[in-house]
Amino acid sequence: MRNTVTQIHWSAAARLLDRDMPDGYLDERTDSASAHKEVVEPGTKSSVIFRLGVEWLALSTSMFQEVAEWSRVHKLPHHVGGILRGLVNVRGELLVCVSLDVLLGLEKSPEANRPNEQTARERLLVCNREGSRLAFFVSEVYGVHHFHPRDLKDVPATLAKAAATYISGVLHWKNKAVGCLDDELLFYALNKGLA
Amino acid sequence: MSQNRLDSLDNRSMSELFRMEVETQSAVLTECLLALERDSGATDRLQDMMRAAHSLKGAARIVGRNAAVQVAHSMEDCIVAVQNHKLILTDRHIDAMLAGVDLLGRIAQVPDEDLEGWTAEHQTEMDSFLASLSLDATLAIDPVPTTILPSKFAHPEDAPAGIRSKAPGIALQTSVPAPPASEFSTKSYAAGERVLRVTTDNLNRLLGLAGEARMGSRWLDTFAKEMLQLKRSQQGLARNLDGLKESLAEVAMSKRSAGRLNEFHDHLANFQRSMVDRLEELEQFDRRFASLSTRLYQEVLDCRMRPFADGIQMFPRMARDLAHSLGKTARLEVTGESTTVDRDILERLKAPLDHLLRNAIDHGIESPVQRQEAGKPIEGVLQLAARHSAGMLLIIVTDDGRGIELEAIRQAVVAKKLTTVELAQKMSEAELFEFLFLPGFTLKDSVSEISGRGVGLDVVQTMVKEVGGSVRVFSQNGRGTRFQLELPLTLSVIRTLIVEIGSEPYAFPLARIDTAIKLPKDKIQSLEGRQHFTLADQQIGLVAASQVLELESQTTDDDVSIVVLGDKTARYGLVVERFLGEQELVVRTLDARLGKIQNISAAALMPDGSPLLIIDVDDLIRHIENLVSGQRLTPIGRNGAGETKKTRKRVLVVDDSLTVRELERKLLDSRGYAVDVAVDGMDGWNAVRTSHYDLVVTDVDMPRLDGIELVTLIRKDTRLKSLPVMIVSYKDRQEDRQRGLEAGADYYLTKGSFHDETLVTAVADLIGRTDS
Repeated sequence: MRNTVTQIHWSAAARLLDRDMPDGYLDERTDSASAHKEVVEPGTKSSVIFRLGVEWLALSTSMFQEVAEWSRVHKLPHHVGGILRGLVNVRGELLVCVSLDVLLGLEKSPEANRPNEQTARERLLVCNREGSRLAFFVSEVYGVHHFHPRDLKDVPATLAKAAATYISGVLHWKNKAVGCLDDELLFYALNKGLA
Repeated sequence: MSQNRLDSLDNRSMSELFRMEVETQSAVLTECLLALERDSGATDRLQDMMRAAHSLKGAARIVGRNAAVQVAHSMEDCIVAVQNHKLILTDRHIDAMLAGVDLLGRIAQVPDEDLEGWTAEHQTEMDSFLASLSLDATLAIDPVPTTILPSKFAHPEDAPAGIRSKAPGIALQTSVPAPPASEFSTKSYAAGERVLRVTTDNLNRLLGLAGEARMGSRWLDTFAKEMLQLKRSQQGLARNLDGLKESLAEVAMSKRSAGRLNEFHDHLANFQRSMVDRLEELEQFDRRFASLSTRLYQEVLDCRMRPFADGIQMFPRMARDLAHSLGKTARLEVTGESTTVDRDILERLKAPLDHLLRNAIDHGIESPVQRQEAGKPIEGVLQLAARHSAGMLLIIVTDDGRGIELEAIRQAVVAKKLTTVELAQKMSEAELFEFLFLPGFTLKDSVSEISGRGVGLDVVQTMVKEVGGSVRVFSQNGRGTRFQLELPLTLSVIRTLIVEIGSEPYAFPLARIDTAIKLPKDKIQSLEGRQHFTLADQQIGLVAASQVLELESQTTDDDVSIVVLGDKTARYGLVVERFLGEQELVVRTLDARLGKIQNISAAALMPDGSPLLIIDVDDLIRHIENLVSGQRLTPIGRNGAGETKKTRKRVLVVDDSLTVRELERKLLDSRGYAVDVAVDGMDGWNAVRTSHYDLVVTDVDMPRLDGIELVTLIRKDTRLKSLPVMIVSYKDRQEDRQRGLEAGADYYLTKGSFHDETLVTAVADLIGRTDS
């Protein structure tokens, strides 16, 4: 009895493995095997690149919990206009929403002037650093980018003083200068600015 | 923000700070000891322990608690011996050191004035503890370590209550025997139920997700209704076709056309059938999902409940000890231990219950002689009961003591000029008992240590009011008193009125508002520039909600929407933009990092998922009173305050010891410097980069980033390299000093220098005296 069952499975497996290859399968695998592989150097860092108004910025990927869609922010009375923007609902949880442009002293992005209107590319970034969570809006998210720390350039003296404090280096990416944020200092200042 | 925290620390004595520090460092020590017990190879923990013990020793020295200095020092010796491989850590050492941690905790609890007496009284215990950790003792090989009584029980007074409840004259009887507190909660839990510890964060996240699921089910409901509409228009289409068929029957049609028409008809009928089937499935799913998500949500809410027994562990012992100290005999009977109570309510019940029980023993229960004369059993009985009744939680505290004499209340009320003799005579029992809840009202002639200060019952009243409940007293002269607290079952769900202020939703707890009213504009009168309206013959002043909350207001042309708040003495009408309706809300606590936000108590989600804020009505009324009486509080931290800050020199104090940090802060603050604090090197490094300071005062030995590394980083930074830095450390050897100065510190002091002027003189040398 058992032998028959085993036999059936065995032959089914053999049939599966011996089946004809789909059209183009071999070519596809050959291309993939012969393609040029990007070598990942040790020490490479991963960052999420995003745009805030006119500035492109990067923050370590490990900080991010999720990239969420636009959601309505409720202002907190007596706190209007500061770093603290209000509360926002992300998957049923109320998170503190901060304003990165205010902290960095950047020019107001056009989106910030219409606080409760959605623009197509605007995203809510949710960060979680050692259990303390914060959300902030950005004008656009490019995605994850890998780079080696030695490719970082010094912060130009022309950058606004407030922004320069939080930017540890500048990355050249797609003809743009991207400011890499110092996450330790950034979260220190944001958390401190809440109350 | 940090300023507020500092202010609150300011009111504390140094001993309190020491107590807080002991709490923090004890947790570190205990955690490390337990880690070492599990894995003796975890030697990295020794460094953490060393730092904790060292900090405690220094802090103890500052507050002059020599016993604690000795304990910490002996623990340090022990750790050093282990680090130098002179000692191998065994369970016995770990027990002894854990006992040391307990001992430190107890020393920290001794009030300043009792310190001498305590030290003398506990000398033997101290000696035996020090002996147990002295290197001779620890090096000696213990032949039968298991038979040794753990040293924390070596002294009879330290044994847990349960072991020595045979105190003469007192029978302590509760339905639960009094085991050590730590075992209490598990034992008293309903038979065999396992208890899991879940963090509030986890629970809140779970609640959030369950709420999302419920919102999803609501969306599905609307979606199903829309589909029904679709079905109806499909039916309409079929009717149209039938009409067409009828009218075409009158004309001659080719066979082919008739066939096509019939085909079309059948096709549509098929469509209709499958549409009905799908809709039925959707409706079934909707019902299942709605019930599932509602139950899920309810279960998560129920997780916030705990058995009543969890919140009253300390009372049987307290009642017993208190009765004993007053020369009375009393027992506390508890019923309804398994009654589930919202964990927040349980926490807040502790102080009121403590007051009620103390009152009952002190005022209620008579002395044994008096009881015998009254023909009562010598032993007085206190009852503490909890049960659910009609959707409320009832907590009842009863004693069989002397009861409250109505005449005594009358006399006290008249004596305190709260009313006239005639009115007092006319007052009903319930009205007279009301006076007991007034702040400062007492019937006791003398204020005793236990009760009679007249602060007890208003604490009860305040707590009960805050959670939206009520309290009633029943008393029979000579027979006893009963206090009945009626509280909501949970604080997690409240009924609210939702309004719009500054175009955003805000909720008022229904229990806290008087009325909500819509008035035509012409009903509003103006007097001396202030607006008011008349409600039940009372003039009620109007305030714009947006003004109180400092929000931009949206003017409306329609009627004025008013929420009336306050009590008989002072009522205010708060003008809002719109009433959005009544809604049951699940209360979400605000992120702790935000601190207390003025006028706001919590947040919640609207049914559509958008956030809203719940108004703290008490806070709001206080705020309105300030606005109305003209003492407009200028926003904190702006204008005035900012200007004085500018002229003050700013100093950053970096130290991982709370005691040292606060000592330095107070010392410098009293000399007019503006002082910020940082809890370790990393915190300090962040602080110097984000704000401007004139001077940094730092410790050396700190977790995360030590003082030397901090100085090195500051000296390397182009913007900070000229910032003066002073090191203040326990380390007073020449090489330590050398290391600090080589790293770039401008000054190196030892911590002894708090006691004289050295520190302030050095600061004045470096950055000058401050201008204010």
